[in-house]
Amino acid sequence: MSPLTDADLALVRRFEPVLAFTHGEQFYPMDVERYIAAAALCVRRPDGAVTVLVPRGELTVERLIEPRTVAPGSILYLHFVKPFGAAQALAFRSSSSLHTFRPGRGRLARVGLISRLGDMLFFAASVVRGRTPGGAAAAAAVRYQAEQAHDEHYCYYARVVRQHGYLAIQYWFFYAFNDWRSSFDGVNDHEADWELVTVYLDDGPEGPPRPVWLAYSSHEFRGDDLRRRWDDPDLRRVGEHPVVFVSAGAHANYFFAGDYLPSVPLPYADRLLPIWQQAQRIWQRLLGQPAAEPARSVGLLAIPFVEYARGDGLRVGSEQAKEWRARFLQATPGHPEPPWLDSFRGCWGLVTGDPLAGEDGPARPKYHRDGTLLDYWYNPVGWCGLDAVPPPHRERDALEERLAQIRHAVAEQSAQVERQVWARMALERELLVLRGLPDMAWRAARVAADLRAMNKSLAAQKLQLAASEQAIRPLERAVAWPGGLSPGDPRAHLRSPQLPFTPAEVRLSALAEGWSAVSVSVVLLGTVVLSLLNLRWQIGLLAMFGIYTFVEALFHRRVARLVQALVTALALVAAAVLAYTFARPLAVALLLGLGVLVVVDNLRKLRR
Amino acid sequence: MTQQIDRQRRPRAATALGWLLIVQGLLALAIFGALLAVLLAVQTGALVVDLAKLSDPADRGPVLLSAGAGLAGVFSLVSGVGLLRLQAWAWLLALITQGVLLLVALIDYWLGSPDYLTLALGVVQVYLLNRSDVQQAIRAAGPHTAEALPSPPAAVPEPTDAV
Repeated sequence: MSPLTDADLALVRRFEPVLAFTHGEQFYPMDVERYIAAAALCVRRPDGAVTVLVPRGELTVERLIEPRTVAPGSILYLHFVKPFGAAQALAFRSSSSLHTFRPGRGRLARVGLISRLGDMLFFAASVVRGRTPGGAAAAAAVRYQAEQAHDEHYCYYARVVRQHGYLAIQYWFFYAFNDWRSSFDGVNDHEADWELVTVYLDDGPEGPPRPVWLAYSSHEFRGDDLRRRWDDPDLRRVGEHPVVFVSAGAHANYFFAGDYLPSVPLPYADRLLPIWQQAQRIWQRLLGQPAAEPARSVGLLAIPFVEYARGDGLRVGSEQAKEWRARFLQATPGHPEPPWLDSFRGCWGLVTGDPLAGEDGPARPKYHRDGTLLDYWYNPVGWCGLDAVPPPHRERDALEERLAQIRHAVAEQSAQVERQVWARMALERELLVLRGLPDMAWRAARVAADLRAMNKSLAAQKLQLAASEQAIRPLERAVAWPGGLSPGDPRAHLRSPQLPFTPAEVRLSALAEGWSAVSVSVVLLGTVVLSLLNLRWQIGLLAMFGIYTFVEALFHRRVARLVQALVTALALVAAAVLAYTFARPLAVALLLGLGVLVVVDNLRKLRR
Repeated sequence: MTQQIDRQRRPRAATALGWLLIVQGLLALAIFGALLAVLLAVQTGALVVDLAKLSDPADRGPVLLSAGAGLAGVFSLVSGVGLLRLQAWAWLLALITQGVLLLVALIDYWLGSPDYLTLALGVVQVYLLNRSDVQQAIRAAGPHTAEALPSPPAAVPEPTDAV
């Protein structure tokens, strides 16, 4: 990797982001050396046995990167802290800012029964599938805060990459712990956390690079929705420093302050997506029913979790209470590349053996846990879909390239059409000659068939040629336009971006919140009671779910939508009953109709 | 003039739906009338029936049937007229009426006395009620009607932070 120049370093400083945390956050971006000094180096063998290679307090960067031979399938990892007991953890919680963190009204009421059941199952499963021990978050927070009390600083790790005409400045943030689950009712806890913010500059040959895009990492999401154009009026900036709203505990990065509801898809849910999309197409196109947003996930098979990125806590960055200390993931004048970047291939936090890996420490910034390269690293422009968008200084080149491609295609298609026309003329002449010869009628029939096929193919080719020619003019105009292309709507690339709750969604009553807190237990207990009573329990269960659904719809002001869904479901059942009952007459009627249609059509032809 | 505008912007599906509901309502009212006439005739003694067949004088079946047909008739008729005038309340009323009728017809089918006509009419009417052109026409008919119809979620709501 090429070393950074002074100009690169100046750019890194110029655009370094402002991180706005949520009140209650316990961990802030730190340097890895302090973390390493506090951690133990361990190895976990495939059978689950763990060996401490370097005990806590004795580890240094040099010892971390020493060459080691471990059994195949083993994982090297750092183990930051020994977990607290329950009493210590509780004491910490009541004395920390977590004590004054308020999840806000509607936290439970915002998601439905399926999600709440999923949440409960997910929680129950974490007990058996391996998890970061309770009390680990509190111990890590105490350790981290002691380090900060000794020498308070906040740091990022910068990296500058030139790719596809962009200059991407990556700002990596390392946190000692992710306490999303234990502190903020989230999905997981794990030791160590790496997150990323990227500023993309237009790296043209003329003039200094200028910012054009931003992309923030958020869980394992990828694609266009994670980036925003620099001139997007919704973006928050302090001068040239983008403001990043960091979610409490999880440290996912967001463009706007607020409470979010990211969905974690269940394993294999994506396999059902094509079936779901096909059903949606039939519903909308064939049946003319109201169009919805095209499905990008099977909603019922994803568990939504509330996440808080309020920006009402500490802020780090330019003109804020706390300033950054810049570190680099590349060599800089006078400093080599950090040795751990390439040489440490393990995980930065405890490996619990969780088959879903949600509770294991990450291997970022460069690698996945299995040792393969991370796309953030080798594809810094493409992970957020930017490799489909030419940088402004190459927009005209891209257009000219496309124009040249189309012109080339038009020339080829034109020559092809010309050859076909000539061949058809020749065939036409042959047919004219053959028609005068009765003994060559068989040949004439074959030539006539060839001609028909040729006419069809020629018509299609001419249509294609005309379409290509039609595309040339607007492209030529765009290339010749003196000011270049208009950038258009800065949000045009967004399909389903993560956005905070709207005030209307948060406007849920305390009654709704109370209902949500007890409803899952009520449904479960009700099911048990009904099954024990053994008296028409199916009808009872149905009635219970019916009442539950109605109350939910009432709280969410969706009664009309619920009525529509229920009646439509009844109509579908009725349609199935009719189809089943009248399958034979329906088939007969269909065949009869077809027969009549064919007869009428043939009679019309005869009359002509 | 108003009628002309209504007709111009009313999709054919909405017109068909409106007339279908009116016809259904009239039929139900006719059944209600006939049942009522029979019941009254029995009560007044004008119609003599075999008392052995009316083994349970407390049986409220015919009365309930008559009342149900009457209610369904009134609701269908009112919602049919309302739909021809592209009123949102009529859309919701028609949906609820069809829901109740379908539920009763499906229970009847389950109990072994199917009413296929109600099932078929219900399927067709729910299909027409769900059509996007019908819903759009009703939504476009006036702001006072928009609330009753469930609208699709906004694709990109405005951010709420105040930084």
